[in-house]
Amino acid sequence: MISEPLVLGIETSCDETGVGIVRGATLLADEVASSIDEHARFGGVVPEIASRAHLEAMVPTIERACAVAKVKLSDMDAIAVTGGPGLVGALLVGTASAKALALALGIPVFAVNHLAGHLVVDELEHGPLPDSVIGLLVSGGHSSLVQMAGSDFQSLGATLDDAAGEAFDKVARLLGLPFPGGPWIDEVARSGDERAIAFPRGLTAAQDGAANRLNFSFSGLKTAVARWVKQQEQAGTGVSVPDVAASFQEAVVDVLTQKALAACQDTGIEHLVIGGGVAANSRLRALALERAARIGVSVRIPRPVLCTDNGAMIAALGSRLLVRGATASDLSFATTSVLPIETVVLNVLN
Amino acid sequence: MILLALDTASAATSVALVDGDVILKFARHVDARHHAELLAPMIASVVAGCAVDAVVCGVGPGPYTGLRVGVATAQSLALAWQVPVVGICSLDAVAYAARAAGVTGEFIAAIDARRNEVYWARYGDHRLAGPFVNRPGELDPQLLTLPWVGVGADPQYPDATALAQLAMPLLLAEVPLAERITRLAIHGTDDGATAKQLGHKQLLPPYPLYVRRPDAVAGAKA
Ligand SMILES: [Zn+2]
Repeated sequence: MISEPLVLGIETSCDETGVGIVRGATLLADEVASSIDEHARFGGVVPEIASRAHLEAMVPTIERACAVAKVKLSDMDAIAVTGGPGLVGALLVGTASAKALALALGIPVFAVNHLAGHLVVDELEHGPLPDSVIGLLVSGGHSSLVQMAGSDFQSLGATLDDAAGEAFDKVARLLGLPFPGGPWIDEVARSGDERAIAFPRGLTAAQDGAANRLNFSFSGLKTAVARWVKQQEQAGTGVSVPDVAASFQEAVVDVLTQKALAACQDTGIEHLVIGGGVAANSRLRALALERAARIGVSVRIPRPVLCTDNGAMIAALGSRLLVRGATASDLSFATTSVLPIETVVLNVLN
Repeated sequence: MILLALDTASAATSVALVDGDVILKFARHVDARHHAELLAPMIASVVAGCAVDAVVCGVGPGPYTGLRVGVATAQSLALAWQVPVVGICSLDAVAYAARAAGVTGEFIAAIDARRNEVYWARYGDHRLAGPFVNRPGELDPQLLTLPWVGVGADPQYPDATALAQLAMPLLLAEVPLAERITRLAIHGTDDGATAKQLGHKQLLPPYPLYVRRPDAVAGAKA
């Protein structure tokens, strides 16, 4: 078994064409081509536009990553690629390319779980993860709590409706902020008062019960923000966008951090890693560190550029699997729009 | 010169390994929904360790999802092997196969575009018009008096051996252009410059002939 494998990772689950190269847990290149500007006027990612952009960007992005890493494709020990979840048409461009590279170079291909990649990417910044760690995954499509041990991922809880990032996008649109809304809310909230409006914290009341202790719900919050804005407008009192943004953001990160630390306490695991696009949120990062320190839990969050979708996270996960002796995917593997976090690597799903 | 040709523009996934006029290996599966699962294992068994000098890819028109699987595969194989990759209009392959099967004079070659539409082009000695996409009802009735190949009749599908046979003389005649073709494949857009320089309409950059504009329906992010 190679201890420091050279792995190229390809990510095309949404609008970013990402190619990363790692040697073991060392990041050598992380190149991303985004088609987000082409989607902005539609208020969301358009699958056909994303798929076309992936195909145009795929080979140039691979070449750029190799140039930055100063390695040749023929040096690779393995290819890793996002097998799901994501937009199937977009995933197919990356997986077709990955299969072709693996077959042409005579090396294994690992079709991996995008969600697991968001958590494992932290190894590129902070070194190997502890043997047991709680993962909080927060992105536009997912809000989940995961217990990770080696290559074994177990779901502890998930959102029952909207994902955290989805709530950010919807509230941003309500406040007239551009798409994607997450970074804008973060920015605008800096000059607002997070205690100005008491928005609801979903599934945190005693009557929500033990079954939902580690689950999330953000649709009620989104509705509450919409109702509040409408009431203010009808009353003619005006809306302070910074105050609404800050109060909404506080409600989201309050719930996320509470539940992540509850998962640590329930399992007795003293390490938390946070990943996904929403992990770039400055208030989430600050509040998680502050609250975890109080109960002696260590928190790891990759730097913001590694939180968004990228190829490095896929390469990092591929490297981790290869080092741990995981079985590679068969060339006939199928991509899938829905993939539970427990399935870290796809073999043949037919 | 050994060519690997592949096409995924229709319900068929086809792969051929060709040396000059000799077809070394050929494989075809008809399954409109599984190009992505079928293609790579088929290539692996067809190539089987043989050194390939160039990759030829059917660039449609055809339903996009399968088409992109073929084009992404061809581009990435060429990148890893460091060989040229070129595109051939998949309707040209239908036409070539039709000629080989004895169709004469003017005719229409067509590929199912789903959603009750058809991709088509008109052929005589060479491609006279197209490719286009239309509902059958929109077509000029005069076109319907010509023979149609590729819809409901054999040769129904583009064939990788036809692609290879179309590309072979062009690639053999224009070896100095191979590097330019590779660069075009990697960095270029579909301006047809290489095809024009080759004095022939059949060789294209390895990018899909979409014909339609994209549908714009937004979704969520994972
Ligand atoms: Zn993601």
